[in-house]
Amino acid sequence: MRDYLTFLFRVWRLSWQGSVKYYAWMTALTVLVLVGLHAWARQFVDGLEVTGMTNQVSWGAYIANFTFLVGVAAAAVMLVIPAYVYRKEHMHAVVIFGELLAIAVIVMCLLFVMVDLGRPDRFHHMIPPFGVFNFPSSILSWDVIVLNGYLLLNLHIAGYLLYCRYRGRQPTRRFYIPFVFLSIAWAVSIHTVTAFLYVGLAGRSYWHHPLVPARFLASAFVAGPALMILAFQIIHRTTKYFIGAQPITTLRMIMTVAMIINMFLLFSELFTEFYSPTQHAAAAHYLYFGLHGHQGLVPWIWTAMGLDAIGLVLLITPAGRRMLWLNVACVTCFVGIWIEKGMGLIIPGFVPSPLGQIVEYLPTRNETLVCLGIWALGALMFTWMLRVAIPIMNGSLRANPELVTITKST
Amino acid sequence: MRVVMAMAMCGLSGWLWLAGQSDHAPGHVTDNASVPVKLPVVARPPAQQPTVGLPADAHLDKTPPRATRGLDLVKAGWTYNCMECHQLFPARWHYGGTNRPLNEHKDIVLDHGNNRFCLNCHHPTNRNVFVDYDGAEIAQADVVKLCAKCHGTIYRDWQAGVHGRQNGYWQTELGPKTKLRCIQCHDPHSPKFKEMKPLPPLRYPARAANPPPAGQVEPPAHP
Amino acid sequence: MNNDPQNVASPKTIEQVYRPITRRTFLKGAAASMVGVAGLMAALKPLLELESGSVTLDELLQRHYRELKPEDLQRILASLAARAEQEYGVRPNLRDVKPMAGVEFGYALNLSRCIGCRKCAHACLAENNQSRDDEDDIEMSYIRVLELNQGAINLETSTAYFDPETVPQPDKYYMPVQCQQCRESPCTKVCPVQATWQEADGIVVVDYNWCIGCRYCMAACPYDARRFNYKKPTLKPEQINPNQSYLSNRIRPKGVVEKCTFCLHRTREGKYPACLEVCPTGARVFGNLLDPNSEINYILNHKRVYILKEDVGTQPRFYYFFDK
Repeated sequence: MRDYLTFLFRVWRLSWQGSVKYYAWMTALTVLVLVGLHAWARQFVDGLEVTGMTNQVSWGAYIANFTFLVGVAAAAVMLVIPAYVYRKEHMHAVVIFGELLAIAVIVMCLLFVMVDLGRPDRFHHMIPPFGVFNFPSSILSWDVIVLNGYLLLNLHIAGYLLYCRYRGRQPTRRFYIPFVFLSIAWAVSIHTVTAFLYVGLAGRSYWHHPLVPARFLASAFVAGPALMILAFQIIHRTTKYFIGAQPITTLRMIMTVAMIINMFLLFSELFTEFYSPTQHAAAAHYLYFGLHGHQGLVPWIWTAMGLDAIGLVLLITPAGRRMLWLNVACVTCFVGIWIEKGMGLIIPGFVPSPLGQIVEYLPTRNETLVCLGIWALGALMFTWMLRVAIPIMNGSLRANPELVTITKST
Repeated sequence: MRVVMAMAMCGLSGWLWLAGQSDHAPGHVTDNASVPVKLPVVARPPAQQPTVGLPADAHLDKTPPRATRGLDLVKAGWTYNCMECHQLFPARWHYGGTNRPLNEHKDIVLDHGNNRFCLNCHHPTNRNVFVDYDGAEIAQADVVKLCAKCHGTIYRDWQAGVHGRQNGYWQTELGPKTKLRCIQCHDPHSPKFKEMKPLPPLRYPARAANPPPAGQVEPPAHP
Repeated sequence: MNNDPQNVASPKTIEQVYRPITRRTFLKGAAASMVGVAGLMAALKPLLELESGSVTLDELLQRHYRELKPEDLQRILASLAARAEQEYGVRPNLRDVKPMAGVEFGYALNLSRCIGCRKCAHACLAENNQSRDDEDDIEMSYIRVLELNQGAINLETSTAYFDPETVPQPDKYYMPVQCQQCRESPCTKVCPVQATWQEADGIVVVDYNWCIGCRYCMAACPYDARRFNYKKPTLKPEQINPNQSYLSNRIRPKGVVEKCTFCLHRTREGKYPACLEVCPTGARVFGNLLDPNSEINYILNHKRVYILKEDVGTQPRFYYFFDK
């Protein structure tokens, strides 16, 4: 126990040590977090009227970001599968980063849900025995379980492996291997359950079809690896931690396949919606072409389509093998899928309303600041975790700094 | 006192009779309405609408579409006896044109669809009542039976409580349920509801993006 | 973890990690912490404007309505009434009205008679103490009156914003929509805390002191029947109806969902709902589905009845019918 406390103290100290760039980055993020916190405090006092949400469009930027980020969190599993299932040695270097990213991103997801609640002070109403937990009827209750479970899983796996590394000892297989395999299934489940939140609602025909979970997963496995490819390069440049080309190649291949599937599913969706002129397709019509003079989302979705197409082309052509174009593809895919899953999935579900009313939505300044604050907090957490994890992994931060030998681990 | 009243009544009747004598003999048709008939001025108490629903609902506007003041004979406490004039003037099926012109009741516009004749509803010889198919009298209090002559299906629905509005208690063991009679909503001479101005509409939410341009709330035609 | 020889500790990196704390670093740290704390306090400053009483310990510890003991409920009702008087200037007669035995409510609307006057939507506001920005603001009204084009039942080309000089317009017909009190209600299924449920008489209610404001029920509702209090309700004292009940028309706090309850504070005492009482054409019919002689059963047995969005499978208790 004392050793663990010492470890925590050393982690704390290490967090405050860094270059000027590190401090500048962290300070900037902290400022953003505080700005977001201020905006949220305003929202807590005045109510959600400071957002752009209305009775007709009752979910907006918060839930859009939440949905997108659950996908990114699920994609951490993309690193675990090659590392542990296919036993690709080169992936072990970076699995831990995927798990740390998943932790930061899941915390962001939970925060996005919390800021969206009208009464966050009543969150305990969900926790039995005091609260009432509408499980298994409500998919939101499933989502609470799987998201928190995924967070705990990743905290355990990453924490255990890092602590063992810090202590210089071999991690016991049975303390982490079963959890790792569980996390593979669990990662798929978090995004499936999040998709089921929307898919089960029969009253909203834009969401009520079986392609939605499939597209969720396909687009998640594009956006997550895209972020990780970019993150790994940043890690490599800023910390001198070596990440070879192989993990990035593996991720690129996963991204390419997932993007092809995503685009195919998109094409299926568009054909089904638009071939016959049904009223079910009103929301899709609003999204892609505008409806009854309202065209608020049209520029967004076509930008997303363009970005996705550029990304796809870059990925499937030899250009994707070159880092520059791969990075471009990662950025375009990430942004494109963020738009698609956010403005392109959540908002059209509410437009037109079930009674045919069209009320459009754009986030307000306050809402945007809260979102930025949460993204900044996620970046802050991830940076902080890397700041601590990398020295552990390269041996700088050890329980016994005198011992120079590095023990072998799986 | 009573003697004075009786003499006044005699005088009044006599004056009426004399006035009636001047140009109109029973059965005699004239096309000249130049001599106005002077009718006695009688104070008319305003018709009272019955209390609709519960008095505690002051915040709810339960006025039926026809908030009348003049023509609700049933609850008025109407002291005006139609027969005071109408015993002098026999009933006619047709007025105007080559027929005897309508001098009184010109404010009544009969716009009742195919029901074009006063005597379809009003009894030809007893103007205080309405008339049934066979000439029998329908009392003023039973005006719904008059409407039921032609509007049987609506009458049936009204009896069941599904035509027209009921107010008060749906569970009559707990309190009164008030039902409105036909003429409390429908003007019998022009029963179709007049169009009314709707109450203020729903507005595009102020917080939402892209409000429609001012003045345009209807969606354009479906593409 | 890797054994990559390129990722090993060097003396320099180890030294970086175990550098001792000097006075300088301590002072720098203290200064930075103070700046940080100041920043945090500045960020949280709006919380000072939080109205006292908007979040109370009593309310946080209050259990779900269905688990409340009668004396707890009475205490809660008394404190809610006191707070309403303090915040809005009118002390309500706030009570809890239980369902009647042997009653299942049904509501029917005669599409041949509705003229689109919106008196029902405005009466709903007057009866149910909903937030409104001005006299004519019916955004929170539970009833949306739609104007549809003759020739089809097409909600997509309908409008709720119609405001012609007179109604009814010749080529349109009108359909008010409110909570359908569905038998298979999607809203009660998706609520993560069961803050909304179906009562024995069929009415779907919301416990405003339990709702966490996640708005999943609003996403789930196929009829756009639910409203959310995006802010603390604004109401003038003269707009308040003091005849209130816990589950229906008491003044809601901010951040919770509300919906039509068929005026259960009236109907469970045997009266008609407010929307029916004001309808000038008598287009609305309400009653007990379990009573074979009720008006609502007369409609179901004798008229051409249809259900809105039947394909969604909600089995509503709100019916639409035509007279001719």
